[in-house]
Amino acid sequence: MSLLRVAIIDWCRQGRLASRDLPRAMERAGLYPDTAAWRVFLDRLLLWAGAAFLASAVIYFFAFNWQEMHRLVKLALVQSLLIGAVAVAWYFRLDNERGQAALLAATLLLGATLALFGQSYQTGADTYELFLYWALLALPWVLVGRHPALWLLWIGLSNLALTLYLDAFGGFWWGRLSDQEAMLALFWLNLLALGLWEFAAWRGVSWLRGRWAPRILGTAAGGLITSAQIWGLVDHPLGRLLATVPLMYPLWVAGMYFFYRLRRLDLFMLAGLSLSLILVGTLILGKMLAFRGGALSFLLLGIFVIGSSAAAGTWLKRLAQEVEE
Amino acid sequence: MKRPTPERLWAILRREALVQGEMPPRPSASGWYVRILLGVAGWLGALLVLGFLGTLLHSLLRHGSARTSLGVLACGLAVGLFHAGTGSKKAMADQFALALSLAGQVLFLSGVFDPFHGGWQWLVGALFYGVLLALVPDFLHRLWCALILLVILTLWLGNLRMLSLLGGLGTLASLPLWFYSERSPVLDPFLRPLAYGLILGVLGFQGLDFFLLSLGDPGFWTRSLGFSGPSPWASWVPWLSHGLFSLSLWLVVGQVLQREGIPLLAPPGLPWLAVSVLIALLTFPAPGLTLALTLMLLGFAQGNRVLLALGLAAAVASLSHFYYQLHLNLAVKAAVLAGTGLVLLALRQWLATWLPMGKVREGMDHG
Amino acid sequence: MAERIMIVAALALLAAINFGIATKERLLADGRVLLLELAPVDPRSLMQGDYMALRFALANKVSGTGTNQNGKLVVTADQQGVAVFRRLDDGTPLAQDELLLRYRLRQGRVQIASNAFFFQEGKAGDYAGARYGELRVAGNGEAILTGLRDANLAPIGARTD
Repeated sequence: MSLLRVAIIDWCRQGRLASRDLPRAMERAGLYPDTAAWRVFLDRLLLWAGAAFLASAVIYFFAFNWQEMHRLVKLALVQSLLIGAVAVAWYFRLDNERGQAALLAATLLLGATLALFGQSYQTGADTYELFLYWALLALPWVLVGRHPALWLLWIGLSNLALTLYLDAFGGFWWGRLSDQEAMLALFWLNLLALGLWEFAAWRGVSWLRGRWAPRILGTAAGGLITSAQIWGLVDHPLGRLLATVPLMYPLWVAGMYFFYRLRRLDLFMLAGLSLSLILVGTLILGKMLAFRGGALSFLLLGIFVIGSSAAAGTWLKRLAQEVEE
Repeated sequence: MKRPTPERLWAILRREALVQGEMPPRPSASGWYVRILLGVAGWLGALLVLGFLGTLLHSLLRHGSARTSLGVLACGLAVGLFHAGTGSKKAMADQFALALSLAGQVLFLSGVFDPFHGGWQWLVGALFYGVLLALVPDFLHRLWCALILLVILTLWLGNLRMLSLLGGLGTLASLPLWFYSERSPVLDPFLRPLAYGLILGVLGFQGLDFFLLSLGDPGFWTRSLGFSGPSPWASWVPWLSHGLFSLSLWLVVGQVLQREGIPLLAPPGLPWLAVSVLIALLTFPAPGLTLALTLMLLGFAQGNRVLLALGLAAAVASLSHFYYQLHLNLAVKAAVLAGTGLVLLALRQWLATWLPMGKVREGMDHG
Repeated sequence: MAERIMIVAALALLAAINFGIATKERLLADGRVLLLELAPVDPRSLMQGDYMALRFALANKVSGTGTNQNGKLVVTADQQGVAVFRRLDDGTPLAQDELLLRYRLRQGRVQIASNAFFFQEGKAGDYAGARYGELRVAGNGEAILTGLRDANLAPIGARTD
């Protein structure tokens, strides 16, 4: 799949590289990890898995909802564990993985504490409040922790909080939101997060370099606006195309192209963009042809889908030549 | 993981006298996400082709035999197209062939399975997909055929009531494919999509299993497919399944140790094997974690980020599923998690003491 | 520097949480006990263990004008402590025996105190016969659900105070 691997296999097949030298070539390419890389990997895996398991254990424990234990005892217990995690993070400092893993555990324990609070004093607070307070209280930690995993957790919490808020209230203070508009609200949240992330990465914040996190955000935002656009198209007659998601979709398309083709090449985002355009385009075309009906419209739509996807695939392959993964 | 460009790699290899002369032109490679794009669009196209054929040949397609033959015809055409496309037209031809093949498969299957008997129908389906797998040289198509073949085998075995074992068997079966594809450039285009198809099938199946289990009904599969009654094997299956997954884990660990040149059954390698046995035992209550770990190790060992990410996703899914499983008390689950967490951290500590980074680098400089 | 911010943030959030705990404890200690008849409905909450979905009969007295609002009911307690509806609070001063009770209106659904009761995993059977919800109510109408009671007004399940 990766360019290097394909190249090496190719060279073998062409006879330029002996098959028995294949593993060595893989090693030099950095595809096969050396002993040091293994050491680091195992260290990291054990650390984060251990921290996650311990924090989960606490969450499960309090989810059990012991009735024999007095609620104040439980609250004191979970807070001591929280303090413990913070102490560990303080001890190891926040500039290395051990401290950051401890901070992640502390953030998860914060959630456990808030959940226990809600469970102990059943006032009927809306569910979104748990995640909202969790996100707000954890924000300073996330800012200071400087780890992409912490940020993604935080963005996940914000998404949950917003979704549950809209679920409970059905809209913001200015009135009710349709499903489509609710999706757009979430879209804006994730797009904002993506924008800020890319901006910070551009400015050279070193720990934000990995591409996987912005890609997750991009997928979330892209998925949301594509769904919103499709929903709008399905619900309304084509004549009202401009009334459904006015301008937002084309603007998003233009923005993504501008940024991820011209400014900072990212094939993943472009592939997602292509898929979105194909889906929306097919739907628009389908609506236009629905009046004719019959086999011909299926044929035309089929040609459109196949043609556009083949073109997108070729375009992306060509772009791949310009950049290394 | 900073990787060199193919050009730089060529230069490095030339310096080590593994290759000579000028580098051949860069091959074209697309990321896994482009394949997903093409796959989804291919499916959309297939549905439209089906719609086209459906409206055109409406009355004809009411007969099962007509559907079967039309399906074979469509797939045959697709096979031809896959081989025929050249140069700039190849992408277009391939994509059309993909849509045509998928549509043909749907027609064929709907024709063969029309009055559903099971038995020989499964065999016909399996053979059909086996043939497609062999004939069509396209990566995505092979992956898909392998996936469907696994599904057919799963449903077939459902008859034998050992459904849950498919996950473990599928994973085990994929291992030689992963290991061997690295060594044989000739078989690689065949083995690789097969391996991916198996793993995706296993993951999909596990995910579905989780989802259904979380609804508290382990007998769902057998009942929904019309097979009645509890199976006499039922109590053995979770153990067997976990055993198969654990076996996969140990094989991967063994393979890695072997590649690193660490003897397996002697002191340097033994603790690692022991640790993997321990991990396998600890994760028994939480199915899926063994698979997740296996995928992560395999992915890292082969520099395959996709596998690594799949393993990570599987781990998260397994932990969430663990919460909803009803066969254990939440308090007990908490204890299991806490115990495992402590063991992991202790292992890390042990690793730091007995194999510190400095010693590793030293060993590498000399060795 | 970063570590110091982390500690300060930790202290701040612990203070906020414990302040919340103190407030709620005061409500539980000083609040008036009120029983509300159930019009009940049960699944697994995100992160919060087993719970039972609840609906109070009093909720039907509140008509769904406007979509999202918070308001107050005025009730009196009978001899056994069961709440009886008097009126929607419109600001008129309360009589001697009248109590305020807050409610939430969410898209036409009325919620008084909690709409779910959380209990220990596996104890769902104990609560099958619940007919009343037991609340602790403060002067301003804020209420905490403290337990469930059966048809004879006897408390169900272990008490955690």
